[in-house]
Amino acid sequence: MKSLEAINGKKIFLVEDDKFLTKIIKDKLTKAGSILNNCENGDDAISSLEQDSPDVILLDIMFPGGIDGFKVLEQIKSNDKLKSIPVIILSNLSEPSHIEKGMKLGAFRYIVKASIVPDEIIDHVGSAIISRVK
Amino acid sequence: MLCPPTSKHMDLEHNKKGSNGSEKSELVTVAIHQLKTALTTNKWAINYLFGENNDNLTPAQREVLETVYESNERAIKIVKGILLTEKEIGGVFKLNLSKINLNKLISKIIKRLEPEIRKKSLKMSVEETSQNFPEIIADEEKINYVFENIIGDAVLYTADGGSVSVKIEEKPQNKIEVSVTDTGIGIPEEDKKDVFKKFFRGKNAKEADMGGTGLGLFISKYIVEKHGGDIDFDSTEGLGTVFKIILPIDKNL
Repeated sequence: MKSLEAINGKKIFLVEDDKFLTKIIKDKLTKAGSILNNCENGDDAISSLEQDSPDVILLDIMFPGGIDGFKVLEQIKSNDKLKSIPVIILSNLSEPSHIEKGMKLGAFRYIVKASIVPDEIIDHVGSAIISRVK
Repeated sequence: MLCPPTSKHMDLEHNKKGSNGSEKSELVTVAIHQLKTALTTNKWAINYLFGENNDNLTPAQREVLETVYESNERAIKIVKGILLTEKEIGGVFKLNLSKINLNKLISKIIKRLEPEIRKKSLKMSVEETSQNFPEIIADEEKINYVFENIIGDAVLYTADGGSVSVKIEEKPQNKIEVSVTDTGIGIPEEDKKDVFKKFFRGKNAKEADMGGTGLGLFISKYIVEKHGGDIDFDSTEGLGTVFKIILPIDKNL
């Protein structure tokens, strides 16, 4: 199954404080047939995610105040409703310690924003959905 | 939207530990991260314009955007180089190993370089000697840096209408070799011994005034060697350069 086919009709949830990046990601994913909901900080993430029950979560790490993305990931992985949903970290922190921490906490993938172009998000989300189907 | 410089908080405790505890170093790291965030927004914005408004851009607008994209990519490369040198090389250097599909990684890098390739009308080719290379075990972010740097330099230092070709082949003893050949400015004979030295920049590269810090090849060699691999080149000034990067399929074997 190809990524584009895989994400069609799927619900993706984005936790990202940058409104402009959110707009671009939303545009790319909705044009590919997904439904994207979002929140702008870590504090609101868990309650929003419980309501939304997405197929994949895209998660930033740094937010202006409140809990960070690592903490959100920890809470996702200890939440019975959410723990099986693949989480893709989308951050500009690229030190090995950050990547290692994200992967150890159970992220499906850790993506450094500066290293990709927006179209590549479709591939990553598609892989996460395909991995869940398997 | 760009966040104001003080609005995002990083894991400062972590940075203190990683950079000999000095406040200055911590401040520099935070500032560089802010810069990287701003440059990422530029990159995504320009890329978005290319993708969404392809037919609406006039040739002049496209050329301006391609130039901005190119210089923004160079700035991102410099920022990544500074972060790697500041935080890891000479400090705690660690590899996050995972399975990587090298063909895919290189195709993505070339796709990201498309605006520059198009602007310079370069002939770009990739030759995969097999469709079924094994995945290699390596640090994806760091190997990505190496090939972004080598392929990016080949594109940067090749004149309009020239060519850049990438060849991927499997070698004996469980190794993969990637060669990147360009018809660029080449490396002067007297500079060859210094190419991998920190902050070194070739005479003709400086004259061409393409920017750059002299960190890219130094860091690339460091990363490749930490993977148990090797990097070498052959070059004739004025004719072109071929860089060969050899990586073990599994560095733990």
